[in-house]
Amino acid sequence: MNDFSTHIIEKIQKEHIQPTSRWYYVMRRTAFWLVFVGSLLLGAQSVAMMLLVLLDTDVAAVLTNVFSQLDLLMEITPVIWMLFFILFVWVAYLGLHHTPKGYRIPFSWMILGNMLLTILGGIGLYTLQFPHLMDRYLDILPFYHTLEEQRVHLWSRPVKGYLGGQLLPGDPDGWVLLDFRGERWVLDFARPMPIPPARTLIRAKGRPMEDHVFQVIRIEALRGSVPLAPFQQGQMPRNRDEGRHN
Amino acid sequence: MTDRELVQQCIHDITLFQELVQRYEQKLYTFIRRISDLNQGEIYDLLQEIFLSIWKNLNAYNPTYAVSTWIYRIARNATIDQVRKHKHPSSRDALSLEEGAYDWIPDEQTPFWEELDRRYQKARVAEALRKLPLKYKELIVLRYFEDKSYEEISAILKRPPGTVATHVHRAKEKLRAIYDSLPGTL
Repeated sequence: MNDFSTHIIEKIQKEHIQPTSRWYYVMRRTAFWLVFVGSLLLGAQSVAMMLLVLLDTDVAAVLTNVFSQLDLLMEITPVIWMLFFILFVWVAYLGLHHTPKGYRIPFSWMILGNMLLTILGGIGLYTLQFPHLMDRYLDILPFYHTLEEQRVHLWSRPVKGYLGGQLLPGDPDGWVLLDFRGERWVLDFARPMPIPPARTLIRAKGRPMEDHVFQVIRIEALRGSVPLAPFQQGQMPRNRDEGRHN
Repeated sequence: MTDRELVQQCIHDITLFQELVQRYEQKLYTFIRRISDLNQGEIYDLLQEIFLSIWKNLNAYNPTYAVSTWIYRIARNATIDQVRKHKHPSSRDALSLEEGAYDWIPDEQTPFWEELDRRYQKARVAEALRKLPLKYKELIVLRYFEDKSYEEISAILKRPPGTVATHVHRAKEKLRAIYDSLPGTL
């Protein structure tokens, strides 16, 4: 027995150094897998929320230049969900990299693979209506505005040229709109255009004229997740931030 | 008894761990000396740390890897940490009297000038290697001095095998560039 190896053994015995428990490593490996799977799920949910915003609300209209305005685009783009998506793809990478064979997968493959899995998961969750459910549950958070609230806010800014609400039928003054705040507007069409049927919820781009007259440049039915005309049920849509209306 | 059996059983019998230390002490000493500028005393301090770390992490050993791969990974990581902690100019000559002097004496069978030339080239390679940045040096050492496969290097460095192959190629180019730039190159 050489001196060095004897010295090592004596040190171990003298200082009572014990090997770390097997369970510690089992739990650590499990934790990394859980981080990986959990991040994929959370990332997928972020993608599903992005899909909800993009497909069910007004982003498409803005992107197709119908209502082009940079500030508006920024406001309705799901930036927070995009950030969550990037974050969770990165955390999933860290989790997978620390699994026993994780190092074998090149960085770019791992990131692209995680993104692909996350996006596919997001499409799946969107199809299963998870983001719609989440949008409702997140409403308990004081800083969260549901998509319906955001849309009500977006189309309740006649001064900036955005007006939404329900078209009322058979009014002698012509087309009348009951907006989301319960106010009536007479619609003045700048030129002939197809008008959605009465009682349809619509969004209109134009400019306010004198005394609740709104000149319409473009009008479209509101599709996707829309407010269920709460004013018809005798209540106003909830709005936590009155200052946002202008 | 194989290395794997030693690792699996030494947790119950510390004398088997002593056997493991003896098997790897010299190999790791040479490996650390090649990739770092640490002197003999520093290397032995580091070796002590490495073997204690191996002892503490016995349960982390994954039998799908060779024991040597696992041990080299621990040794490499500890050495890198040590080098980063104590960044100092070389404390060891590339060819110190103790470690290299006898290599310079030609044997009886080889013609003197041929042997002298071989030794001279060897010393120049050692000098070029010493000047190589650590990230390239460890690749050259593992591949050509320790004779590890790309798969083993991949497991030791925790990098994908394809990346290891690319980096080894790059390391060789760097080594050649340094070698060619040394004074006395024809």
